[in-house]
Amino acid sequence: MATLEIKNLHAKVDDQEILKGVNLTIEEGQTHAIMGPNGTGKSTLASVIMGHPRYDVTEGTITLDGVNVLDMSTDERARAGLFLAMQAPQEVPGVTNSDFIKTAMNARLDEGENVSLFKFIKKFDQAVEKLKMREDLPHRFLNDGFSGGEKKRNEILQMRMLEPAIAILDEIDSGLDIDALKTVGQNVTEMQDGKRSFMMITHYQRLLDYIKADYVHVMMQGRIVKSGTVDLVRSIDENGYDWIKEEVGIQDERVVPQNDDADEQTVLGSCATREAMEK
Amino acid sequence: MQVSPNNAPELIAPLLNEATYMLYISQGKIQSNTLPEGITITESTPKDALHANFVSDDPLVSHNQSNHDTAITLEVKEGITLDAPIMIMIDGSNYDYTVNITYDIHPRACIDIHEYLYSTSDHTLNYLSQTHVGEQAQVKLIGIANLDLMSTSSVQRLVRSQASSHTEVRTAQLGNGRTKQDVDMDLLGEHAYGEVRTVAVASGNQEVLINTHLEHKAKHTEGYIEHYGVAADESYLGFEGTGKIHKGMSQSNAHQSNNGVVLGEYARLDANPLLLIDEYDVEASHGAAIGRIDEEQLYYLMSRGLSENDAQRLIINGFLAPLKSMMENDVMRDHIQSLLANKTGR
Repeated sequence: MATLEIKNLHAKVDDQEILKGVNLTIEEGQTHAIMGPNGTGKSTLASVIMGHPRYDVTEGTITLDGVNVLDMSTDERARAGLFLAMQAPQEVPGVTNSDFIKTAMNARLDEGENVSLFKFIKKFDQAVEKLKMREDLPHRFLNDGFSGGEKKRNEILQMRMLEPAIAILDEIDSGLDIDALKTVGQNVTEMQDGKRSFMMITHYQRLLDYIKADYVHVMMQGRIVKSGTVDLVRSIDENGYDWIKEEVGIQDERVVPQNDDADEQTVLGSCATREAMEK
Repeated sequence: MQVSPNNAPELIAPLLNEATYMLYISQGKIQSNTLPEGITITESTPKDALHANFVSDDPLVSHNQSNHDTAITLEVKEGITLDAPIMIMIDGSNYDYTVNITYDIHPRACIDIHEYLYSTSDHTLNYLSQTHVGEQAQVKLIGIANLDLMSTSSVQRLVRSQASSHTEVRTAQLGNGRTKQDVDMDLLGEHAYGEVRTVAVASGNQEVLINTHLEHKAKHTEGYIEHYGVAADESYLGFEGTGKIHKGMSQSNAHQSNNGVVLGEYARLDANPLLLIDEYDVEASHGAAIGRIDEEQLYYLMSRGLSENDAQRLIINGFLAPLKSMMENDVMRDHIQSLLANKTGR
């Protein structure tokens, strides 16, 4: 379907640089896992690819099949084939899931054209069943009052409906119990059709038990410091990240160096960004 | 010239044709009516006994009560239940005039009234409705105003509710003219329930004032005020809500909420929720939440490919979801949605 190429990407938030030269190429049909400790810029990378307005790209390029992604607005990027399953999906009361997804699907068609209602309902029902979600999902307001796990499954449901060329899954495994993880894993695996590409951000090796990845990258200090195959995950699982830090000569892996008492911080969300903003 | 639903202005003709029961007022007089049995219509102000309920210290109300071009009293007989709403269509185009309608709803009647105020010219429309809700009656009064850019209007609705009655007033201000809307509800009998829900959208350099006044004058009464608004462009939208529980009216509940979205840099939206409580044994609350569209919500929707306009439209429509309860049929739904799309310019 498409190739995503990231070259020497630098990005900042509130004058604090978070990404410091990311290089990554995801070829058609490949699945890449991005791992690394908290606060190393993983989620920021996902947000920058999708065009979150808070981030400024200061250097480098992102291209999709050679076309400059950085020139596109967020919605143009989505219509060009990018999709981001977010770590903390927004709740939008008053907007039903079905209206939302229908509008998103129609946005991909020529002006005046609409998806057939029959096909839409059929596809939606099927996705609801595959993700083991509640049958009244289409009529519920978008993520409004959803549990953490429901929100995550709803992201994957949207991915099924929109069929992107390149899907970025930002910690899709956090907050999921083992059954839900299995369901999500099956759904993603089903969509790995050899053409669609994936970039999965995760802290845990267990996600890779359910979704097969071709390549694994480790991020530290806003860059990819080590790349390899799934074997790399096994080493991290057994030995932690310290050996990588030693290998590349890093003491504090975070983008924003922390003093000792900061270790007590709860670490959820776009940590590198949060840490930068708190400084 | 006689105007019938068939040669009514293009915009409102479908609404009239869709209505099972209707009363159509244009050029200051009744043009046609298809009111069902059990409802009598008199072209005059209400009888003195009934009128006494509506004495008001608002000078505009008293003015409209005594100076009017059209006065109609609709009497709904005791125990009547209608299978469809009554549409009251008032076309205020081409004349300055004052319309005064009194609904005298007898005990145990159950009725939905759907008022639509319309104009396409720069004239002034004063509208006053007075609703007397008898004991145990159930009334839903929907009022939609779609008045021309150059028009000026005052829309006043007085409601007097007797014991154990249930009244829901739902209004929408979707026109472009300068508008002042008042709803003044008195819960006069024990266990009376009253709800006033208003949606207002201001755009251009329009000025819209919404006043809602709900008084608890009996024990065990329950009242809700809800205001939803969008102020776009350079408009001003003001919400004034007052819930008042009189001394001794114990076990009453008065609640109020205000929700507003401001679009653009120059629009203004004010909300002044007031609670006046003169009794200890009550439950009351009020609140206001006014803000801009959440950037994160916008980003989330856009990350799925929705254009900024589409995303904004969905969020605004969702925010104004209380409008949905005013859409009795598909014709009205499409109509309201197109008015809304015009107003928010998206």
